[in-house]
Amino acid sequence: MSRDTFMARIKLALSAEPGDGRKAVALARLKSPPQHPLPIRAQAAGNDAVATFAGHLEAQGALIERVATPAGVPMAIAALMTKLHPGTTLVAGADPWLKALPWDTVPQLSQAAWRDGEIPVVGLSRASAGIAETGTLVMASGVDNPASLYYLPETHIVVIEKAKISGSMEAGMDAARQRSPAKFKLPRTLGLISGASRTADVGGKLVRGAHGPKTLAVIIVG
Amino acid sequence: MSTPITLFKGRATNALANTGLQSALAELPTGLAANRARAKAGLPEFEDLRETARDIKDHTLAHLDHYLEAFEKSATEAGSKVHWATTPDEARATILAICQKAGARLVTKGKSMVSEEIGLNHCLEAAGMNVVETDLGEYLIQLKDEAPSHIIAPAIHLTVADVEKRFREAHTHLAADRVFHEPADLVAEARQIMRQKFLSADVGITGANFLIAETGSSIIVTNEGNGDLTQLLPKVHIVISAIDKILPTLADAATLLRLLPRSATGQDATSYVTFTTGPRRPGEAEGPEAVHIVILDNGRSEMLASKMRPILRCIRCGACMNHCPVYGAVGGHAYGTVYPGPIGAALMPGLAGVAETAHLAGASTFCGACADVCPVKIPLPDLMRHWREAEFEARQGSALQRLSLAAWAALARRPRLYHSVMRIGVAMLGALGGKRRAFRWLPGAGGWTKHRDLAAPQGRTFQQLWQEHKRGVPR
Repeated sequence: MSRDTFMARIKLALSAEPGDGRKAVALARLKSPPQHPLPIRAQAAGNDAVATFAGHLEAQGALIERVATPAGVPMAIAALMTKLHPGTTLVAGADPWLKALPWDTVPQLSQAAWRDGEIPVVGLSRASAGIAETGTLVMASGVDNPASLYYLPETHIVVIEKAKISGSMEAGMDAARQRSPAKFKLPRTLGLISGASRTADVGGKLVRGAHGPKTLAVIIVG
Repeated sequence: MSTPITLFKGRATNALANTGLQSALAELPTGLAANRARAKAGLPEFEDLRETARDIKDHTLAHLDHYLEAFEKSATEAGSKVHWATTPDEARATILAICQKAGARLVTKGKSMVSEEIGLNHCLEAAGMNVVETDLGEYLIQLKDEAPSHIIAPAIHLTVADVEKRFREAHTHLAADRVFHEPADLVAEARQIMRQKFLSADVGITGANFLIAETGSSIIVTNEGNGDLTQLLPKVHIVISAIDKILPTLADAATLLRLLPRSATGQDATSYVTFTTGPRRPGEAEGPEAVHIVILDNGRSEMLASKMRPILRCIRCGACMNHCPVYGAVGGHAYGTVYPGPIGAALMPGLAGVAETAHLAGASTFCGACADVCPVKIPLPDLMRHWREAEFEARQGSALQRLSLAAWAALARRPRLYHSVMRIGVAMLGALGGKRRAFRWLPGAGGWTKHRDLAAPQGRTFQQLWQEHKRGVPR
């Protein structure tokens, strides 16, 4: 069956719809998307947004670390590694901001660049944005921050700068759009992550670490 | 003779006697339903958002042809290939051809109700492929070739002991004397088994909770992360979805994404909501080389053109079944259809035919709880009533059922006669009910009295009481 036959059926089904301008209406909505009402809990800003963001993530079992400056990030990561997975290697993509951190402050930390086909114990990523209303990390995939690191490791460590945390899902998605190469409307994989992998499929009991990370650790900078 | 309705009754009777199933179903009110109530309380705008969501879906459906075309354009620009399938046969043939072209031996699958709808697994298996469901609940039922008994918790009918038994039978390469202390041990075993599958699969197949016309993206909403690995790691990713999953823009998706997890599991957000836009891009070291998006009609365009259009608003959260007294009594398998519960009763006749499934509209008390919780405000009882009418008009149902309805209709159209007959009947039943004011047994009501007493009328009809009330007679 051809595409044309398929579409003809849909058009026939809608032949009784009033108005000649249906196509124009649809195109207008695509060009300038509607602004639907924002719940109050999606309107937090500044430090309130950061606190709400961290609170929701913590309630979902995520580990939250706060550091004052980017310079403190390597130490915080090294401490997490020692606590959770001593003796393992930290694996990350090619994010220039992460690369520029003062890693020489933690010479004992073993690090490697991620390669396809590898399952790291600990993956490190940098978030593009944070959504306060649900405690959600906005992860834009790319060479900098490969999506494999969001879902494959035992522990996923995510660094997010305080200024990137805003109130709503809409703001978070807009930030991801900015991160996408010009040719594309979104990053290839846009991951909204609100906790570790979990399941309740065995007897209705909540278990963390179903197929993805068992632990999600978030380092908030600033 | 086995008819759809006698088969349904047989399965329902078995379900009522199945103690494992009954204990699982008994947890619905304190589990998923209570979780939803808590999540709703945390979002005071919840009821307003339901109105917005309904309007978004109605707008989308009224312009669906244009949004489908826009989706195709955006997805193609992102490098995906869009396929259109009017029937399940076409969808299966399309997917089979893609898998064969990819030389697929191992196919991993994320959870997809549309794939259940088209019977995809058996088709691929018949062609010699190994198909592995990676969602834990779906994997559990695949081990016994069962259908999902709930659209978001497919193995909700299984106890922990059932799961252990299935794993011991299926995973014979593992030590027979291994011990499972708690559910986490079973989950760990599934994780270990599934890891190898994710990495070696040739093709990954997922569904889509939404398809976004603005960006050409498919969205999956998950907690386990299995769908994410299924669509990321193999060299070919196939999305199987349907026309009712289209949304115009990301802004529209944001509103629906506030309602879906809260209505489904009672979470503010699931662990993962993942947008996929096209295949691997230049310079990237991960992601499939090809993304195919198969969009199914299967009777939906007929519903789009009819009074049934509101059913296409459905976002498959499962709240209607979590709150349904009938689903809560018999579970999903009793329905015998891909989609169970109120949504199944309202949707299935449009997908599988009135003759086969319209009787499910009878599996309802018409209490309306489903419509009360539906995040997109589908008037489910109205739609079920429509199928009841269609069933009657198609001259289905038993002779006794048809005769009773015809007699009732004749009576109900003659108010004076109706009131007289009711007065006499209610007075007699009231007297017969005696001091217990209930019947342990009543001719013609055995289906009810077998399981519980039938309350007796109290001697006067509602109309009589109402007239007295209007005259000011104290009760």
